[in-house]
Amino acid sequence: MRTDNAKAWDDFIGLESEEAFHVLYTYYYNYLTYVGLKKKFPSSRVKDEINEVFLYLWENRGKLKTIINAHNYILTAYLRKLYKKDNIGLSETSDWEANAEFLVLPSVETRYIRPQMQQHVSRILTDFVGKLPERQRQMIYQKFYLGLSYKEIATVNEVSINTVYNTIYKAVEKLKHQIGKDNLDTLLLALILICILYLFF
Amino acid sequence: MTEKEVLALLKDERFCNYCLKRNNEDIRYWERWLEDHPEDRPGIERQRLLVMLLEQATASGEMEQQYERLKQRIGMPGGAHKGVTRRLNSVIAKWSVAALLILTAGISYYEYRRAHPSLLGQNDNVDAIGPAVNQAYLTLSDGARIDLGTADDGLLATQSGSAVTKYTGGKLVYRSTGGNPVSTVVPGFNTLTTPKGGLYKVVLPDGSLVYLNAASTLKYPATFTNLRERVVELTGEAFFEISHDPGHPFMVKTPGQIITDMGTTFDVSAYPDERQTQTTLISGAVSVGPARPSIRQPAAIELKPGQQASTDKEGIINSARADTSMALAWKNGEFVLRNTDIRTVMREVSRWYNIEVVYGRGVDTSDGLNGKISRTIPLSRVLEKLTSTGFVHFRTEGRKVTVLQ
Repeated sequence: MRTDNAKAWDDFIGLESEEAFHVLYTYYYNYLTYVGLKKKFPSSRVKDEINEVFLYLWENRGKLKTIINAHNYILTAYLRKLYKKDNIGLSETSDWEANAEFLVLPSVETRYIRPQMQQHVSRILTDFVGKLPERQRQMIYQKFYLGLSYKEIATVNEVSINTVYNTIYKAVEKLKHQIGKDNLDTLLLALILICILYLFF
Repeated sequence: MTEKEVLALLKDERFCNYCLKRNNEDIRYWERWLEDHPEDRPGIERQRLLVMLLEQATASGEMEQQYERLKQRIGMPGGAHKGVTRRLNSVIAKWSVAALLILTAGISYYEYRRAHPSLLGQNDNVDAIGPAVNQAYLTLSDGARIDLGTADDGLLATQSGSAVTKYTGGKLVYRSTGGNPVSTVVPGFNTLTTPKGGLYKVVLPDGSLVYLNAASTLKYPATFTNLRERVVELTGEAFFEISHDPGHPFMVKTPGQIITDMGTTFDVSAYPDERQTQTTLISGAVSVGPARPSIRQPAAIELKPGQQASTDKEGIINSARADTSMALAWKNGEFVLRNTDIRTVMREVSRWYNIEVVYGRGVDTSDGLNGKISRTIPLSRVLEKLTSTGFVHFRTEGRKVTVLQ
């Protein structure tokens, strides 16, 4: 994943490619969100500062040709904004990398789910997530994708643990009813087959 | 295991880890558990699948939405930049331009005054533009309109069994006359309206106190007896200190939000020309709901003291920690600026001083201003302080203020 980002950075700086910019954003959005939330900054702050960093990158893309370690640069800029400090040394940033390494890397199965889904199930899912209020979607993202604990999610969203649990409970329940048992079973079968194939090849 | 019990597993962090294949220990634990309870496997597998689907979909949803927001900011002319910190070159550049402007403005002003001596008197009126004063209009249930600025103190009218009395210091008080309001099931409504540059206070029939800011309207029933809920309607801004009455919730309806509370103090800002409706809770508890429930915002949210609920034009309600000094600045006799852009500042100034604000060409309205300015001083002093930031300066003609770069 890191080498994909290196190429994206080169394209972004050298060719001013918006596509490359989007690739960087896709990776760093999750990474920086994880870092910020683990440090217990509120969700809203984290979201704002990520966009501030990327806004800065875009506006100054002409001046960043000399940056050697883009990853450290982005991370440092982000941490500075979060802490509003101007003197974060490089040694502090290397600690972050160690902690955040485990993040992301969704399992093999999730990579194959989407293509295996039938049209109508895919549509139900997209509709459902599209209609989720921002707060709910945010909490589900934090629990399932980022893997934060219930307590951490409660802290950074400034709500009670019960609220987080209820939100997630309700969302899973609602999605279960909308997709329906049969569709789920069909999808499960398809996944199992894929996994078997994957194991053999 | 019942369906509900399977769902309840979500509360278990280790189960979630198993669903997402995160922690080897947890994965082994649950695999073993499933071997011991094979009848539960289908239900659990389905749930695991749901979790995986949500994991993916919400992640890309979150990221793409934030990316869209970023794209919009990038697309804006000049590239909106929230910070007040400006790079050195541009500061120097701006100052040199400002210096030039002042010079030319000074020269042309001198010429102007020479040519128009009669307007000398006009300009001096700037000092005469004072801050908001106690001024409001009361509309009774029969439509009669009373100018509270000119009315005498004392009993003004009786409405649905309440005596309406004007006190000195800009306060209107409703008190039950003691006699039973006749079988009139529906009490009449009264409306209190402040003009620009006006302020007023009203004590409602239940003892609740409402401070009305400038350019605001509060509509309320003249008596709360026979009513299950105490409902008032607000446009503009008001600060509420509500009497506790658990059996009869107090509700404030604004075009964007409905605020329900039991006995609390809070501020509601619902000006039609502001982007958001905001409710800030000082003490007690309120729930803030959409004026029109929708799929994206179906329910109300509860606020804790120190929190603020903001509703945008689409009806989505967000709650966050409030900057209470900013929300209550008007009541405390100040303007509080925290990274506030000049247009927002001037909208408040315009309501408080009853002036018209126009913008000259090329005024950069995206910069954030910081500071505190008193509201109890004449307009000219406020404009002076804003000018001293170096971002803008003003030209005043009577009650019209032009903002210049």
